[in-house]
Amino acid sequence: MLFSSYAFLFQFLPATVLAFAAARRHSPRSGIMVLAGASLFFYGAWRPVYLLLFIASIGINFGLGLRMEDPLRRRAIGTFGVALNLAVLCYFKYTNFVFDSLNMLTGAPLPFANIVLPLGISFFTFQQIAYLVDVMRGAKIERDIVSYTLFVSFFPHLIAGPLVHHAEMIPQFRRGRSGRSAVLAARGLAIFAAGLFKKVVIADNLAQFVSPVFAHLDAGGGVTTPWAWLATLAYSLQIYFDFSGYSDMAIGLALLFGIRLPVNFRSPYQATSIIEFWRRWHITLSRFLRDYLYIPLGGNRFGEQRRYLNLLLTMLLGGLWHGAGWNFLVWGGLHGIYLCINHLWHGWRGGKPDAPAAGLAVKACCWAVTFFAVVVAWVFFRARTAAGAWQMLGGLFGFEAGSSAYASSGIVRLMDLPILVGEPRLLLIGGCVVALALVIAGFMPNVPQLFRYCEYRRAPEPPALLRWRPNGAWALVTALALAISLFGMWQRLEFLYFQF
Amino acid sequence: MQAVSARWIAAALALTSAVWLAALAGLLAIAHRVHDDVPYLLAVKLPLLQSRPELIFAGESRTVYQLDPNLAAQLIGKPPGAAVNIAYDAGEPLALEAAMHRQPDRFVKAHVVASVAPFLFNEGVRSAAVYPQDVAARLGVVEQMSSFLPLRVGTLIRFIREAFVARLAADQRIADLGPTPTTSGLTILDRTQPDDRWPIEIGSHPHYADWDLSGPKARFEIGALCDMVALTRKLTVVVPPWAPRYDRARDPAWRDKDDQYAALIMDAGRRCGFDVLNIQSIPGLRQGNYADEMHVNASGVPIYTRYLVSRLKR
Repeated sequence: MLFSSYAFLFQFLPATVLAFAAARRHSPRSGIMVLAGASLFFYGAWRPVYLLLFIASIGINFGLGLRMEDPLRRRAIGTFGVALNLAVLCYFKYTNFVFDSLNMLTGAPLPFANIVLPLGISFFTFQQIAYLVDVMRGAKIERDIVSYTLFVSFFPHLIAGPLVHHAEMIPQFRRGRSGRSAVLAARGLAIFAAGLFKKVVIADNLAQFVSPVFAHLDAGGGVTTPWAWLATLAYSLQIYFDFSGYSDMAIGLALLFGIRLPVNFRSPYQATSIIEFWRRWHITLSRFLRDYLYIPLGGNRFGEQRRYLNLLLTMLLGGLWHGAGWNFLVWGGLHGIYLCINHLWHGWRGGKPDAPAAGLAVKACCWAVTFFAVVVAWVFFRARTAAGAWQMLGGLFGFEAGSSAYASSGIVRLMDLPILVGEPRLLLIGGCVVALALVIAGFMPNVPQLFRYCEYRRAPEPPALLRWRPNGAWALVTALALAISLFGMWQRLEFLYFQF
Repeated sequence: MQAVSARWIAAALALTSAVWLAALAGLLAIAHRVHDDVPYLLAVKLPLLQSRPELIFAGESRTVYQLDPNLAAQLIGKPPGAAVNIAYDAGEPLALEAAMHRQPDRFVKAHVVASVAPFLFNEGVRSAAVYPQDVAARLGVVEQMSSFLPLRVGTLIRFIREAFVARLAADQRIADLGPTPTTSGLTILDRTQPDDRWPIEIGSHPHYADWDLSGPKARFEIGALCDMVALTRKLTVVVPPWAPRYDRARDPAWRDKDDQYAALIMDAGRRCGFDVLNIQSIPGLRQGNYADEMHVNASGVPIYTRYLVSRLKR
């Protein structure tokens, strides 16, 4: 069930909100029981058989947590639990990757395993690994199965994040009624509308300039330079609006139930360095990788060389987390190299900020270099084959000649309604759409700023020039965003991050 | 603050409904302007007419999946291409008439055999999948919205989408320049639906739901059948049979409605001058030849084709 589906918006969500409100009147615990039940139903609606795996994962990790009370066995049980979670994740996500790689290297005819990747497995596995590791480190053991189940399964973040931490979720389930439910719900509705608009209107309309071009390249075709740039820039913006739109929707939905999820994006395309980019892009994954991979590897505690090695390893594994493929490894490796270069540059400048307030030109230059580096890396992330990625790079820099046969039908799709415009105009329209999306991503305040969103036990976001208020004008803006998005929902495009 | 926020939520949701309705009306108005009576599914089959066929099978799914035009050509002693199948799912007479107006020389010397189904005339069938798009295009925006909202909004959304797709097909001149489909237009159903999907009886089948033959569907589609007579050498309208497991004699609701529907078409045939073949059963066509309650499977195609051609020869 997609957030941008009619079944979710007009059946599941209203029923869950009403049931939650009724249960909450009885007691906070009844409320979280309703949410846990609804979340399991939400997951089961995809493929009921995988609900069993999901429940087993929750039950086993909860049980392991309880058994870790004994300090003598804590580390052993915790290590076993982490290994078990990783084994399950590896089986579902990486079996075919390993087989394919062995096939490629040895020529051995290993079979293709017909394994369906359970929805959201990367997210719920990492959240539970974080819980087990924290318990190993001495964090409080959760004894309430309902709270634990809801922490893992809460439907707004279940499928594609944000990756939540038990310490920021479970305490929220125990709070009594705050008397601010309508205030939070109003903000939640507005944030949800903004996220839905970003996904359905912006990201899904950008997809038409991306998918045919990359499919053509992956099939062995060539691409002209203008189309290569259009497709790559469109994808860079599509993935941002798609994923951040989903995260915004998740934050908005959670607020409808009075729960605050962590912010996942803070205008990453405004970043003026790669270090800053990773503080703004998929923030909850960066946080996880830092706390549970980079720091345990040694972080920056064992000298410069080890620090860069740790950075590279962390980013390589971060790439692999996104998908089982060499392209994802290359993408992660590229970002690892970028980060190393950025840190080296930082060190060479004596730790001064990358883009000092002194010059707008310097700042613009830093932004351009950062954006360019990120865009080039996205080529590997998006292409399904290494050959496709190299063809695209060749197209971008004019090394590979290509036709534009893939675009010759010259059809632009406005909310999936096809209009014949001819190829030259299609390229122009695509360029304008990409430019507009880039302006929005680069100059508009992000959703947390616009709504002065306040994460759990954190200060609200700093105020922006443009700020949401519960007044008539914003009601109209929200209504426009929702109404237009409702028409776009007939496109039935999935969220890009569902595949991870 | 709680009260203000609650009022804001109510206002935002109310405004969303209003904006959505206004946008829907606007989109429907645009769809009316861009609509083309020849839908995409028919346009892609019209290149088949380049062979100047003598026998053109058209209509809805029971011709798409049941009529082998190559066998039909063989049965009338003509080469392949002398008979073609340009039917498409939920195909309607209005669209066929529009195609005849677009390419009159392709039809005027041909014998056109068009199948029809109850949902094309029964106003009670309003689902998005089968509501005739050209009938929807003849309703005004206000009439469309009052007829289909709120529960049948999907029908309006399909109308908008199909209107744009049909316009695209017309702009691309697919009917003239598109590739010729293979198999002369026949599509084979190679799967039989599971036992629990077969309806218990036909009287309560969705195609006979809320039975009403007095609405715009019957008016416009019968009008199109009549208009087609002058555009063809000969027009025959076929009412194909349902699967033999269903017995009209034991299903009075079905029998009554079906008789009214057949009478409507036969009456129009007498008035306007087209033949009607009301086929209630076909010798040799058994339950095992059916993929579902309406359509035959691969084994039933030759039986159905032979029978229909034999009736046309009489």
